[in-house]
Amino acid sequence: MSSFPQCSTKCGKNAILKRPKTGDTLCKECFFSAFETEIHDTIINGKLFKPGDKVAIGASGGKDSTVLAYVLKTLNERYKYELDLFLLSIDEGITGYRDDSLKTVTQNKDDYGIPLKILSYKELYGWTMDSIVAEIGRKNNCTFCGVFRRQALDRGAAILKVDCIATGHNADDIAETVLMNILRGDIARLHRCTSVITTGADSIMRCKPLKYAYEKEIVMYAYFKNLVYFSTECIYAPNAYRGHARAFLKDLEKIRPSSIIDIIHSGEQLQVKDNVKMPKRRNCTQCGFVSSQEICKACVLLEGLNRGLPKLGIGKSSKAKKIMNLHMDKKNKPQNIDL
Amino acid sequence: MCSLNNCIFDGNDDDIARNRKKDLPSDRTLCRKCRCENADILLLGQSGYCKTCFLNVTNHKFRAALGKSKIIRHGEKILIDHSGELNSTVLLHLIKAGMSESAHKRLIFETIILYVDDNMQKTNERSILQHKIAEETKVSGFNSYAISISQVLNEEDTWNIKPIDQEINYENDNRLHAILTDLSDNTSRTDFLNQLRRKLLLSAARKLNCNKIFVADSATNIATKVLSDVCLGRGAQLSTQANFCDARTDIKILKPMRDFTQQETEYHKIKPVKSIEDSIPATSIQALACNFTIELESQFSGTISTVFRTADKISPRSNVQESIEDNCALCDARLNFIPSGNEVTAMRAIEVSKLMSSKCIDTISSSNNEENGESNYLFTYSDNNGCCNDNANCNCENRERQITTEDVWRHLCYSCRQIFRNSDILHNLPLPLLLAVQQRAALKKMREKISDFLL
Ligand SMILES: [Zn+2]
Ligand SMILES: [Zn+2]
Ligand SMILES: [Zn+2]
Ligand SMILES: [Zn+2]
Ligand SMILES: [Zn+2]
Repeated sequence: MSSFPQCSTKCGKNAILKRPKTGDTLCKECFFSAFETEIHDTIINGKLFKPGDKVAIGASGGKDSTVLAYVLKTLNERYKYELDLFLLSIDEGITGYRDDSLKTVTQNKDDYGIPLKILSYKELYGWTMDSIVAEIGRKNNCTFCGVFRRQALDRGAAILKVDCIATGHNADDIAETVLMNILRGDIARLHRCTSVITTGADSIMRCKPLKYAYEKEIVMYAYFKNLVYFSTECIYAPNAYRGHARAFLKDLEKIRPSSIIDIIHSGEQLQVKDNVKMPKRRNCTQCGFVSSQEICKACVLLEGLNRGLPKLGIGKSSKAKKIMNLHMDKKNKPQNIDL
Repeated sequence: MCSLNNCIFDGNDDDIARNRKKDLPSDRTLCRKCRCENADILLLGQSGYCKTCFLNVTNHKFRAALGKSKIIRHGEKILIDHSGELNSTVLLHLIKAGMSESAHKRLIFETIILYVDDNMQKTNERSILQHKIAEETKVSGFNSYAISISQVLNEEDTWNIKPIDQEINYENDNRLHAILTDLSDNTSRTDFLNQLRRKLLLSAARKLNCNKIFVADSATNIATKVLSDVCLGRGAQLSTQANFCDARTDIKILKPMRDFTQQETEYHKIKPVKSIEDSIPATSIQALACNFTIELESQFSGTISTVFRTADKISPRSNVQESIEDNCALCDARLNFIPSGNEVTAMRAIEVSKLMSSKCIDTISSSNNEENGESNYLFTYSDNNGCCNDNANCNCENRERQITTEDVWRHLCYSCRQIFRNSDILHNLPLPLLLAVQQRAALKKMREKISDFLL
């Protein structure tokens, strides 16, 4: 009974899956090997790591970071990258959400034998997400969790003195970001969002080893490897605009599966015209992390929270800046993060 | 998003405000310009105009767009791509109005209209439509011609461009239809037709001694095309969609209506001879992108103009050299940018995936244990699939006059290759394109031969 087609690699086994990325039918072993080798190729040709690097894997307990941790560990051993890997998790303090996903990360730590470091928003910012939501309500909370989260890894990595942060962004995420940046006219981000490595002045290198891995294939890999992951979207749902972009991408993929990588190709083939002014990237005068503004969004938001004006920084940035400047002189240096 | 640490989210999403109910000014009943007539026309975010003032304002906007560009010279012949649909009908009206202005404001070019018949199957409707367009253009007084899109399969000098009131030559329609049927999906068909249409316009302009073409793309059309181009991998071509002037070839394609919203063209209240058919549900990426753009604009106004302005600000990333043989034979865009050094790219990732899904690992990875895989990895990626690179026995000299699939492939960009995926490209590429490939291949070969002596 050969209802299954042959594996496209002609290895002689029956195929058990059809690759969303190429349409080829593969057996389990050949799929594992293809999936891992492709990531290895990205790592080697993208020069993501150097031997001896201390690498923090941004670990959320979700599928992307779980698969990333597993594959990095596997490849590190197989190809002797000589990386010092560990998991870095951020605890935002969202009741009922983090408790479960941190349990998953802890299990990953045990299963893969990779050390784990958990840093809380409380430690990094002095506020938990729950306390922020209590302050501002649910309407704008994604502004907070996005801005804080983005910087949380940098802050954590700086404390832990790592050489590089590896994040689980997959091909679908990158394609979605290309679309979003075009839709909202963010040419500066459009320019850099497809790079496999990003560095800002003074900020730690970030890389995306799963840049060309399809989300569907990541799920397939986790499924056939029996990798445990935590699959719940953030309970503070994303806003409508990004939701539209995501739905559009899913529709595109149905019509032409290659469109995910086609969009990434589009992003890689364009640049900002020479005569267009680009916002300068610089460092926040308060916390020192990379920012496009004099004071980074995280610091503006924090300032608002601490001063009981939580809407500060959510609306027009000029207004926020005015208020910030008014109070800048009076204010002492922000507290350093003690750990 | 928010799958926690993987969040790419950066907090800007909230900057995009949902449409609010229009704040109507208190004196909304009067035209903002003349202040005496009733305002019949309300544009989004602005107070209203009466019909007369609205037309004055749009006419002015149109002439200003042309004037600002400083591209059009006195008495120049300009070809108008007229489809019979709303936008190009409005374009004809704007030109007509500009021609009848007082002397110092008057438009000073010569207008030639071309109607490209592309509804290949519907034999009855098409002659009725052509007849209607003939009557419409007769009233306008401009010289008008018609051609079937399938003429693009012929060599240019045998083309049949007919005066609009004569029956046009359909001889190649079946052939073109067969080619389209052979392509793998509606996305490819639409993309191919769009590229052919552009080629046809360029050649027709050349034959009719026009060196500029007007197309009637509004801001809405442009945003839609930009988004679908992104999804097709045509990121390097976004600027040519959005810029006022597309100067990829010697004949320039201009978009004098690019600052018009769809609403502004609709307020002209002109009944076009041809209406646009909606395609719901969308079966192609282009239709999907169109529905998406319009839906998003209806919820977040400003989306269309943002997309349009974004595309206007970017350019292709490219290698330095720039000569015709480096352009895609079908779409005339630069061929894909391949970064020097070992940067990872989507193109490379696709090659690696193809290789990994078609060969058994045992045979390719055994050679990989030296140097911990550190050195230049097992795949050497190259853009030319085949021929004489490392094959001493290759008889490629003999093929000089012939065109191989590899030749064609090499002279097509990433996205144009996608059109012919899973189809017989040598069979399906129109003759003029095969000739273009041959010419480019020959030029390239010549350049290689003399490269040591080029300064
Ligand atoms: Zn196999
Ligand atoms: Zn959130
Ligand atoms: Zn800061
Ligand atoms: Zn008026
Ligand atoms: Zn092309």
